[in-house]
Amino acid sequence: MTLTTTRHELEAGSPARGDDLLVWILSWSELAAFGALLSAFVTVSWIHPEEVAAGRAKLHHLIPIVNTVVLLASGWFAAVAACQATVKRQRIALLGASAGGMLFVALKIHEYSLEGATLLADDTFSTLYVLMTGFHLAHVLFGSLVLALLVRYPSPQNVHMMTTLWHVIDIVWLVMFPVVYIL
Amino acid sequence: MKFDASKRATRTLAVLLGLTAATLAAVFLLQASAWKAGLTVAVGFTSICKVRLVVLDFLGLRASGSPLIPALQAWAAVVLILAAARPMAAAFALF
Repeated sequence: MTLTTTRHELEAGSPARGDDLLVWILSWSELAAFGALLSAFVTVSWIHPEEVAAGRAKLHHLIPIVNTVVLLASGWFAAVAACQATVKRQRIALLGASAGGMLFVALKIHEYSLEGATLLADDTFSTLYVLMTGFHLAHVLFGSLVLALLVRYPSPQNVHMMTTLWHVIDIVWLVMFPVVYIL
Repeated sequence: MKFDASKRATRTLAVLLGLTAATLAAVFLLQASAWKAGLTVAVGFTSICKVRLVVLDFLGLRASGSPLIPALQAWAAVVLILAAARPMAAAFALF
């Protein structure tokens, strides 16, 4: 596909309904996994409220807010990529989405280092916190790499599938952020 | 039509950033006060609003009437209600 590919050419290759089924099976399996992890975290906060409150007090509060903004901006790039008229613009938008994801990963790793967070901690809060946010971080990292790959191979099916999954990862963070840091 | 979707996504991003700023303000203003229950409701409500906007305008499901819209919102609402239940119960001295 060349940089001069037109809107008609892009729409001719629009994803079929069958692709949607696969995308949503993948998305719901992700949502089920994150739902289970978030439920475990909430259950621990019910059983050990003092331990969770103490763990939450040690968390950095500005970085996750910045990360929310970064992920929303990245989601916007992905949404724009899915409806661009030319492949050139689509590639720029995909690059923006990928860069946003990479920035999220860098900030989250920096946050872990400031908090001294590790999976090997002996308290339940820290273990669940790192497990849950780390699992999400792995998805963001993988998604960013795939979005970067799509800059080179931006077929409509690939873009539709990956941007949909990217928005689902975004939705998971929008729910995870208040559950872990605020409520 | 696709260009409208792009403009709508831009408007939605602005609203999402505004809601994030509102959440930040609510956390700083209400966290140390007696309005803990209000903070819980406000944060939960804005989070559900954000999820709805992402579903409608980033995922592009607004005009589809798809059952995925209520399903995705329900997923977010169930997790947030579970998480908010304890602070709400504590705020009303049920514990």
